[in-house]
Amino acid sequence: MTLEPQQLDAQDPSHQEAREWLGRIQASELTAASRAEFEQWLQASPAHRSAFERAHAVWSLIGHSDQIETWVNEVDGSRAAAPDARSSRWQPLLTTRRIAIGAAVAASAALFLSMLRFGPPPAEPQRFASGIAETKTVPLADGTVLTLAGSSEVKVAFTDKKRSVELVQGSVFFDVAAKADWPMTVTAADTHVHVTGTAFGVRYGSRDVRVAVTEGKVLVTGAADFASQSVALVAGEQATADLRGTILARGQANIEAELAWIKGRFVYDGARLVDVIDDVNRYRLKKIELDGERVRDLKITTSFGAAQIDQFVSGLPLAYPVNVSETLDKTVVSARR
Amino acid sequence: MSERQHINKIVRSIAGRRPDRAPDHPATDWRKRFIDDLYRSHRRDLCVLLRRMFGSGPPEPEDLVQGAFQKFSELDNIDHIENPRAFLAKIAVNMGLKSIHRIRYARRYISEHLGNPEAELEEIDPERIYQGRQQLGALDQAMTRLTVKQREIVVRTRLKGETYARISQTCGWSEADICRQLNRALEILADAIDPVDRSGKSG
Repeated sequence: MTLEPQQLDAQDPSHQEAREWLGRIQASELTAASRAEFEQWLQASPAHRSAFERAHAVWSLIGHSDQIETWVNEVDGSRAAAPDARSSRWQPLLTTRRIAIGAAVAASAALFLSMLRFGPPPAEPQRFASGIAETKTVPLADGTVLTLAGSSEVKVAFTDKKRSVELVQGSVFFDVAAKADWPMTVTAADTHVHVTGTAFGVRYGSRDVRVAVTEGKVLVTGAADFASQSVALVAGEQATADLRGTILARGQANIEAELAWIKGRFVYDGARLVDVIDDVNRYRLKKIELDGERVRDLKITTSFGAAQIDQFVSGLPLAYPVNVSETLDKTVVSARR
Repeated sequence: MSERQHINKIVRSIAGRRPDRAPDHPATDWRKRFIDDLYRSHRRDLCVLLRRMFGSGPPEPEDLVQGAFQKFSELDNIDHIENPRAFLAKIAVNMGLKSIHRIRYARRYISEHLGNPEAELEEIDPERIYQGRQQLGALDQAMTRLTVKQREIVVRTRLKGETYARISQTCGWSEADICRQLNRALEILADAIDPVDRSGKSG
């Protein structure tokens, strides 16, 4: 008996599952739990791997077509012909507001802000993102001010009962407006920071999440077990959690180093090179790759401005046992042989 | 110097200068003239395309186009390129996607789990594209068979690097619907490109 393709597909759901996983990985923010689920699925059967490879090959091929411009024009043309009412739902009102960002980091500095938004809280999360090498201030409707480091992104959702901010990537400094009956939760990977009104920075790195408090106090919890994973931090303290929300360390924070990016500087005292490069890559179009575990874990003590990133990278071989090589689209730092 | 000018200066120092002509390259005169002509003919349109896809930056569309020409000028095997403008668009779009952290992470993640470094790079290589031209022809045909909505979802997710959440916000469709439509679209495309594999007769 010969089965039709549709019958085969019905018997073997691998292809449909593979396409669904591919879409989720490419077009959504996977949680640590989802990643674990995907990895388990991929390893469960050779058919799963084969189906995923096939779906991925199609995905890649789309970017190789000569028709890209035509397709994009078609989509934009149809949108222009039928504009979505959603785009006019918000009417931002331009104004300027002067704020001071965390006394410990910039006691004498004040930032002039624009684009203060008024209006009812949105039903859907609002997304705010900074570009490469852009430090961006985002005033929220409740009076909270976010400062985004380069290539950082947050989603903000306010309801009557709580204020939720998800740090999708990068580093953000939160100057939270005090609202005793309107708590705020900041989430980065599976780590949550609970506050009512305070100032703190959160850095979402490739290996961990770091919270450093400059004013007031916060409660840091992991996703898995609220009771056992909570740590209370006061001004001058920091905590580090892995991407699954397990709190790895807490202690005194080097606030000046931790939040130096607000002033356009990078300051490190014994930081791992992987963390330094995570930060630097958010300010660089041509990305830096670290080749090998030994290189990633090199301890770095340095200080440089955003304009000196290239000098920092090219100077690495002088101070550390590494080589730096350039390809067309990336810079590679590898262990010296 | 304003903050934006400062940032753009850094970006340009990485992507290359923005001259009035195509970037220098170690090439013969005819090749140099060919690329200069391409630059004059297509730079403006490519900038418009990239601005529509990724906004005003940074990275600025002009810098992505400049980067694409730089890369194009350094290719060894441009003889296989049938449509240079479309090829430049591919390179620039890929550079734009690579400027999105989430996309870089997804590519690296897939690459690690497939054990295939090419999955991460997804580089635009003329030789590979030439070898896959039959599949590309089938893909282009199959794209015309998708519904307008499916095609829009493919463009937004694959080429603009948008998330389901962002598409939902922009278009008003539910994320579950977007997920289903993308799944169906990829199924149609896969069947057109690789019909034998679907019935289990090839790897």
